[in-house]
Amino acid sequence: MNEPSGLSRRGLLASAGAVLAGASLTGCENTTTPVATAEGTGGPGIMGDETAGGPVDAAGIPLARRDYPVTLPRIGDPVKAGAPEKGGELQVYNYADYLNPEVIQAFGKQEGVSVRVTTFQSLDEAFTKLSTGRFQFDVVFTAPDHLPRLVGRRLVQPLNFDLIPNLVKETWPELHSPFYDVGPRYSVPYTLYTTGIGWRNDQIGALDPNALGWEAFWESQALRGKVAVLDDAREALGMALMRRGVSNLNTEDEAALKRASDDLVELNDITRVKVAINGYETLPAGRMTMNHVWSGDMLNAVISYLPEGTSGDVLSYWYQKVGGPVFNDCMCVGVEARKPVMAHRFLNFLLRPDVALTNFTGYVGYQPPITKIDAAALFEQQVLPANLRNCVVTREDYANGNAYLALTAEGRRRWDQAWGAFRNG
Amino acid sequence: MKRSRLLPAVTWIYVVWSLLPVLIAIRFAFNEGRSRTTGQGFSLRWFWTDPTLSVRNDPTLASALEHSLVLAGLSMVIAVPLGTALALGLQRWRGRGSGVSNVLMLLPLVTPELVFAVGLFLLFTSAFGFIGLGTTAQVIGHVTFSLSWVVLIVRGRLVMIGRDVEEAAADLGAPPWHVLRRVLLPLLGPALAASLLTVFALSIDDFVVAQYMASGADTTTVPMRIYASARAAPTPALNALVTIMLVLSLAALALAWVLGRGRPVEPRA
Amino acid sequence: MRRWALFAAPGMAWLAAFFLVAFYAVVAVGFGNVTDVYDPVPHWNPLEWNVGYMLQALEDIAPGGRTWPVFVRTLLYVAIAVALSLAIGYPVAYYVSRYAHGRMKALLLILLAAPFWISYLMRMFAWTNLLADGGYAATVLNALSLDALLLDGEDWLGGQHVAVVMGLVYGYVPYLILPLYASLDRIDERLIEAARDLGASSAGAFRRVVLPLSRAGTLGGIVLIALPMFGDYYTPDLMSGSPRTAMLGNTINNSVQGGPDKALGAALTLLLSAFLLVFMLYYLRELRRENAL
Repeated sequence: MNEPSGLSRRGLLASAGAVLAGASLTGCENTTTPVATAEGTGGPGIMGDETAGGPVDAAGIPLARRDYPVTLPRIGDPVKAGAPEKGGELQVYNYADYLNPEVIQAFGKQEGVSVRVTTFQSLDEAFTKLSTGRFQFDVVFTAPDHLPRLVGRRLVQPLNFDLIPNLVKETWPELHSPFYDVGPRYSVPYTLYTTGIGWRNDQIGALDPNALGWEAFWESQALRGKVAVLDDAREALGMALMRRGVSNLNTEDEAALKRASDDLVELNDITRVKVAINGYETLPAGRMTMNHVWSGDMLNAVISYLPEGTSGDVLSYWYQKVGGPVFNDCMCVGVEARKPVMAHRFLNFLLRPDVALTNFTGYVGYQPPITKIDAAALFEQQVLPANLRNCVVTREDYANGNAYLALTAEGRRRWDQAWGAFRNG
Repeated sequence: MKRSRLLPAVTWIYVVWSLLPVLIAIRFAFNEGRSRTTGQGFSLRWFWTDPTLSVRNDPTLASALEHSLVLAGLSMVIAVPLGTALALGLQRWRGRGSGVSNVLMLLPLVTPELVFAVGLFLLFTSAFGFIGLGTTAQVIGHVTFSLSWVVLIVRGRLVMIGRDVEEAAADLGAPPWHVLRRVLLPLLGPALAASLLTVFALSIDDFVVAQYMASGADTTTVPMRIYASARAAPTPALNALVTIMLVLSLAALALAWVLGRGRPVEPRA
Repeated sequence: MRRWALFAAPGMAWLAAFFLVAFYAVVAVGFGNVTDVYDPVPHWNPLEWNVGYMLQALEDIAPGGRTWPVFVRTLLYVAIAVALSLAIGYPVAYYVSRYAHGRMKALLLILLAAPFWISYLMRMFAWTNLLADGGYAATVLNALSLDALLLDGEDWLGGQHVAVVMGLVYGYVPYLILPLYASLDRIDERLIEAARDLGASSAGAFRRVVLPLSRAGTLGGIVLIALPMFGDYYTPDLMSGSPRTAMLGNTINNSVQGGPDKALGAALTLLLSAFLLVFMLYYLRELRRENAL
């Protein structure tokens, strides 16, 4: 991105924060123009000057990129440090199967609080339900590209990092003040992943995803009915974009997206492709042969879903080493949290190396960005199967990786339309 | 005659075809192994003994069962009184607006469930946001589409009973409230039992409305659990779950039958 | 009597609030707009209606639009499934109403009603067990070479049209048989005998007497199963899971529950309702007649 360096702008952004927050809240609804699509393309820019801030999302918040860090506008003040709230339930909002029940229990025991997890299927669903304003979650799991909308809609609160010392003490330095949330203000990282292809060695036959890369999906006639792409607009279209050599996974180019969508539609005929996010269950069970998956899913498959008598050796994973998606999910505190201090303690707890390890190898399979956890060693010690060694995200991967990030309102509409053209048949 | 051989054959083949798959699914619930496609011995592993995956020990399965029953119970408790009053009202009330009311009462029966579910979903996430999604919304949804059935069943009975008994009681000087409580409601007994049973069946069977009104893991019902797992890689514990569900349905049916037979008053039937 | 209107009031209020207003919510969202973050903004006041999404939905569903192929596929699936259901259901209903007697008839009626007591999803799930690789049904069907005849490839659950249509037939045929049975059972035996006495062949009597007299029941049964099929998304999801076999219900479900296109999904829901209006009105009329309302 040929924007001027982020540094000088960061100062500007910080001062513009208050303005932005106001703009985003009053400018949320735009119903004056009778058109079929959302208005607000480009938005007001930084203080009304498009060229000063680069593209902005629907709420008027600048779009963070790896080479363009963004400080999110400050909405309200973080909670004061103090004794955690007593009694009652800590309300957590998360994907299903994305938190080790043992870890939850351990936290409950340590703090004398019961933890209640409510689950969502997709981040879109989570956003829809959160924005009804009826849920008072203490802890909200999300991803960096959703963070600006959560802030723009005042659904999360600024964090008090005095209560989360483990962020600086235990996590990778590059995540102490990530480009998508400079400061940081609202988030701490949870887990890392790459996106790639997972398959069954015993069923895939002559097809070699290691050699073909993403093209493997378009060569998978022989596996018809046993192939799936991720049920995720960004990931699936992005995969089709990468297949064509597009390196900007946040492109808003209509022609490129149209072609990606057409390419996916082609998979219907080539391989009767399915759309699913449960490769971590269907691959180890042998119901599917080749899935578009996240790296953590493959480890999760081995940890929790291998049927008796099947060895983890039957699974393999490939990801695009340079320019492929490599990113992290993150955790926030809900704006109407009843137990904000306890929520901070929960975040800090999950960043404790021993806890993070139990969560990783004991259940979810997604690796936390904790410096003390040497994932490579876990393969040496055979805690994890050696053939899935490449499911680990190295700091080098993270530095070279690509990421799906927030788009402008118009860009988002284009992605969703392209996705609908495939997903809805 | 040729038809007399062909027709029974078709009929029995159909009956077998319609029920055998479910019986086989029940058989797999008792598998000792993990397969749901081939029989592997007999055990209660998936119901009870498996430490993590059985219906008893897998919280997602046990809670789905519990939630389905809670929804059915609440729906019965609300829909049957509400529908009975509505039936009495509509049957006896012949004034302005009664025609329109009759049509409105039937509309939920003819509307595709998806349309209704989308409507309630959009309602509870906008104007009725104070209700929101969750158990309350699920119960409201189930009551709404059950109501019409209760009305039809109770009105059918009301027509059968006629007004003679009631009028006789009134002639003998019974106040209207007494007529209702001592004469009409007991006569309606079989219809009330049938209504309870129908609401139970409708609620247990429903997938679309429950899914649209759900707010998270703790509002998952058995059909929702089936939908989510059947597309992944379920264990026979899911078969065990559907088996328990089926047994409960049949038990409810049997109970209603026994209660219905036990009714002493069967006027004009 | 006023008193009776009071009895009806709570129920009517309930239906008004949770059925009429709910339906109006679809209208308000379909004719509404969205925020910059794609939350639907319902326009409750008709004067403020925005036709943009409705026009978009119309364009999508018209020939050449992006929903058009799904619409055609849905029509085909439903038409074939209804035809197959009739082909299976009519003989069964006919046999049970005309030729089965006494205990046999009672037994058959119980067996025909049994599927009502087994959840729809449960019955679909049973088939996913049978049609999975190595499942009993898949093994038998493949041994009979039916896979070569009916499938593209050999994987029954891997995005096959046949599997989805079969799922629809299996799921809905019980709902067709009972109304068919009711209408056939009502036909007076003596009418058929009279036709035979007047020289009609057995087939002729069937064609001239039974078919016309069972027409209302047949139409009613067809409407009864076609309506839910048009709103079905779970059958294709369970029996296939591929966009290749998506029905209109899947498109609506994906738009409303999944993605940000809720307003468009609402507009599409309205179009579907309008398309089904004739069926709904017919069914409504039948219901009123049957229940003498």
